[in-house]
Amino acid sequence: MNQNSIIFQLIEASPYPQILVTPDYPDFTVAYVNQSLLNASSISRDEVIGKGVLELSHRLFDKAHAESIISGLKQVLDEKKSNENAISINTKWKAKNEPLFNDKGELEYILRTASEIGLITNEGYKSIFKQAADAIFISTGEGYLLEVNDKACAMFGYSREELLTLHAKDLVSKDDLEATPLLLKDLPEKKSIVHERKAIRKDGSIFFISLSATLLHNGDVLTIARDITNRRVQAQALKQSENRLKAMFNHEPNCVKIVDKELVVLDMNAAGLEIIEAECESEIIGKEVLPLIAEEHRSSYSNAHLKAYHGTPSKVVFKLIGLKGGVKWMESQAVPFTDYKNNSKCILCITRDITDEKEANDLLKKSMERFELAASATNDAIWDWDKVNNKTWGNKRLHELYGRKNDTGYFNSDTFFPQVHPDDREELISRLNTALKNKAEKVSGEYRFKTSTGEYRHFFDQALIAYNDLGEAVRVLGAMQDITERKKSEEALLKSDQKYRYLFNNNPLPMFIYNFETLKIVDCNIAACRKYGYTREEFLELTIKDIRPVEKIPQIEKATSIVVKAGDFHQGVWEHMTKDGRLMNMEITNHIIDHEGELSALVLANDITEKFKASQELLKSNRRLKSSNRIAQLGYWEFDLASKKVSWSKELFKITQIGKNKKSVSIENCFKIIHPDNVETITNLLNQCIEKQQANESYFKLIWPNNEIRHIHAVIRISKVENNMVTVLEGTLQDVTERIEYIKAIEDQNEKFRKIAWIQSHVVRAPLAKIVGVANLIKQNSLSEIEKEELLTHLLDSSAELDQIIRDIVEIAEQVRIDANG
Amino acid sequence: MAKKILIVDDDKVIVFIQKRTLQINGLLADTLDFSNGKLALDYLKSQNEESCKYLVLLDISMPVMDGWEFLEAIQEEDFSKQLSVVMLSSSIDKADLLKSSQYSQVLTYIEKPLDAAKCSKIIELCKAK
Repeated sequence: MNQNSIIFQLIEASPYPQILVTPDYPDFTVAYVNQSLLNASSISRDEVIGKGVLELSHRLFDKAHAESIISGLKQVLDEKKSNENAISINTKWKAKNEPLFNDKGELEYILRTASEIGLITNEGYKSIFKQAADAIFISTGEGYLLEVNDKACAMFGYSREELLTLHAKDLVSKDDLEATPLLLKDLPEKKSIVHERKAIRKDGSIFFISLSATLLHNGDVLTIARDITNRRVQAQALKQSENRLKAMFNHEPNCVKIVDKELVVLDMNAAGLEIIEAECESEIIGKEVLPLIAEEHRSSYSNAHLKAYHGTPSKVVFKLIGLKGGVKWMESQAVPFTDYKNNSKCILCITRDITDEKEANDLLKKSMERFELAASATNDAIWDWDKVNNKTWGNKRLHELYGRKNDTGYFNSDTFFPQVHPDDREELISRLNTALKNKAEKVSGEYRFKTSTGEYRHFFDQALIAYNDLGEAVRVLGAMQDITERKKSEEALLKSDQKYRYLFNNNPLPMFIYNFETLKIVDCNIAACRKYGYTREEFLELTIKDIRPVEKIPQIEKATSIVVKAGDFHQGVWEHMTKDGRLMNMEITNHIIDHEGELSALVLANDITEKFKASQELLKSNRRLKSSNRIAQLGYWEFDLASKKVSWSKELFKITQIGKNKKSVSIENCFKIIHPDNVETITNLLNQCIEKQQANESYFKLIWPNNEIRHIHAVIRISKVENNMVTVLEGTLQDVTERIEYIKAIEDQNEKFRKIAWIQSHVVRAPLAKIVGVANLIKQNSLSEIEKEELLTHLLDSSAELDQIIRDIVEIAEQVRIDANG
Repeated sequence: MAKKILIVDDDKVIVFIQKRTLQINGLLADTLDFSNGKLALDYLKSQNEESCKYLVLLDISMPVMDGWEFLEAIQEEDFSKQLSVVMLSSSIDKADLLKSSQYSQVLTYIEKPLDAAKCSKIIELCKAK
């Protein structure tokens, strides 16, 4: 490497355009170009170094010219000697190709020097010679100095005249000469020698130079020397550095390898061998690396390394399959590398095992993907504030809040706080600062935030604060939850609650709430206090047992021991007691509710004491009515014309002996029990009621199932009229059989009395009339004695007849009396 | 024009009394007596003297056919127009009086026994008809 540096410096110092190439046919890779060439060609050094001359020539020149250049270089390679060829037939330039050998005599470089034909005149040459930056010596083939330049004088501390008296070996330290004699004798064969020497100045001081000795056509030797003392020191340091690097190479935990263009492994450190599961170097050195690369990654691996080979460092991640089948994820960084040992261009790769890292990364990536997904899916605005750099990442929702499309733009505290409502801003900042000051892990708050539409919306923001080792907050991650609708609902609920609270407190009906478990009264309204005679404070000290008479407490305990849930509803009439012991009949409506997290009952108490009394009276009245109906054998009915159903009752069953336990009976069944003599009458009666819409009544007979005939008094009235049409009739049926029979008995008795009267009229008066008639005739004087005798006989007979009749009458009267008394 | 008096009564004493009373009071027409309505009806049916007038002294209560049945029976007979009926009964029941007035052939209702005044009334009514 030091040798190369000398060469590079010499080339750099040359006033002629020079290019140093490696002898790798057909590329002839450019190892170095000097400034003169760069000036002449208007190209940069980076464009040239590492590139092939063939490629470069084709780029810079025409085809014939390029082929000429390659041909000249090839000739040097083949013949191991210099040649000259014209650069272009159209130009005045010519080029000289010279082989440069290393200290082992191997062809290391080919130096191509261009010059204008005829340019290098003696004057020009002398001028260059004199002004050259390096020391230049021209000596005989034996080493006697013939000419030196100013730089040579300055370098060795001699005047030109003194130097021209010296031999080349006088300028080399004795120990160096003993170790390595002058090589001038080799020049005829090698034409050019490059090596380093330990030089000695006139004052005896030692310094190091690099020499490039070239055998001139006339047999003289041109030697260019450069002081490399500093570079030697640097080289030694470099050597040490190299040793260190070598040590590092060997002990580097990552795989360090050198591969050639075909990706054949030239060298690999111990760590690399372990990674690829090789027992020894022989298993990999000299072999292609691609079989160790997973098939799907071979293409990208090759491309990355070829790119590095051509000068561009590259990186590739791939899956490595070890020699024993182990699979690892690796990351390889490849850079171009020149192996000076072999004088070849190759690739240096540092490959590290990233399996764990990749797995972690994959997990992190998945986690991040999930986070991104969650962040994009949620309606919350997720933000991540890098407090150190005052930069905030936000999800799509945050961008929307700011009215930014395509997730562009940035956020930070300067963009955030101005959007917060002025009334909320100070408190929010205060909260955040307090949390940061107290090293709190979390901070949260509610505030109004002005969105892109200009509307202030309510947000609940909750954030996690991350601190570094020094306890400084470095990152705050939060989520803004839009609670505007909830706020509105809460406000509405508050208003509603206030409204219901007002309704509760001012309700004219007594209302109170008790805990369903403890039975303790937890709230009450004014009406309740008033009704029960307690102050509110006194009422809230009570349980619901305290407002009931002692004997009813077991009943209330039983009623409240049932399992209930919110939403249940119970209603009933209970006896309650006021503070002064007055009993009240209360209609209680229980709504089971969740009151401040406790299962409670909202009670609506309606005092129905008076109503209860009235209903009791009504009940009694109804019972009396039912009894009356039962006694009177009176049944009420309703006939719905549309359904042809007659509502039925127990009393009607007793009267008709049909429809037992039924609520209704069809009109057809009713007619079946009417005596055939009365069917038409009843039909007409009903029709008349319906048509004329007037009440009516009638007597009829019905036949019981046991064929007993009963006499019924029916009353029919209009119950309901719709659209001027009767739709419902109502009325009563009364069994009047006993009454009819009684009347008949009376009539029979009357008949008997009439019979007595008739007897009196006809039978009693008949003999009497005869007696009167006989008497009238006797009174006549015209009757004979015989006639008178006959009349007296009739008179006696009629008197006897009358006597018998009177006796009969007495007997009949006695019989009537007996019959009447049953 | 011939006239006949038909006494329809089942009591012989009454028949005797009525005949003697008619006789004493100058009603000397041909007098016949029948013990029930059926015998009187049969007699009337057997007569073909359309110009003959009959005065029937009719009792109500009789066996076989009483007075009411007799009145019903003559309603469809051609000779009904030839008849003048005097109901002569011991009944003082006003119902009997009212019922008898419903028959066009009945001149009057007279309670037994028949006497001179009642005979005079009958004569007057017969003349008036």
